Amino acid sequence: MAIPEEEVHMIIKQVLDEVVGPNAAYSHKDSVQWNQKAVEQITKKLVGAGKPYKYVVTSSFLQISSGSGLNVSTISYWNKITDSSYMYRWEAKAMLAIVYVFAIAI
Amino acid sequence: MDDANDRNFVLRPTPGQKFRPKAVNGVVQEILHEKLNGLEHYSMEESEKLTNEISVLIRDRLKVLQLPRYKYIVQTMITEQIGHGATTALQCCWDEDCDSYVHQRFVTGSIWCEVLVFAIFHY
Repeated sequence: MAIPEEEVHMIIKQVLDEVVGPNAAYSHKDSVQWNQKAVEQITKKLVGAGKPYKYVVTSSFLQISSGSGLNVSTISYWNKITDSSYMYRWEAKAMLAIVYVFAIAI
Repeated sequence: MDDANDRNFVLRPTPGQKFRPKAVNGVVQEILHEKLNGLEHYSMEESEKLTNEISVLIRDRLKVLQLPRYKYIVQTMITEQIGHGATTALQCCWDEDCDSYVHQRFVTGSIWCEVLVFAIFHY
């Protein structure tokens, strides 16, 4: 029933490649816009698949230049048979994107 | 009819059993203060442990609220504060009436912590 993981990963990769591109330079103003646009399109594509889920998409962009660390943890309290989470890590030259997708069955 | 648990077919939480983001804001800040205040240096292992602990603590506090039929997602991020850029964006496709989210940030001289809590009503 659930959407296959590869499919979600492909959607995220496609959108980020399209919106940001692998060689983009980091600028804070642009990254806010890219981020907003990326989550919007990812959500749109997920909803377009026409499955009976509610979706939550979060995405964090981080500048990579200084070698800083990042830790992310997620914990859910839900029905693990019907609901699922997906994580995708996308990297470009100057930035790192961590995208989480949660699909909650209606 | 007071308890959403007793009803078989539920479309809305009763007013008293609705998730209220404002009430949870304080809880999240309190936990972040308790865990992160006084943290002087960033370390990979320490933060890995902390992110997990914070998420678990918040989840447990949410469970105490005893809101029937709510599902929760807690996401905690800690990154080192050394002047690099970072942004978070989110988009949800859900029922605006009963689902909600909380966003809190805690910044000290050495770290930058962001917490997202989502509450989703299950019909």
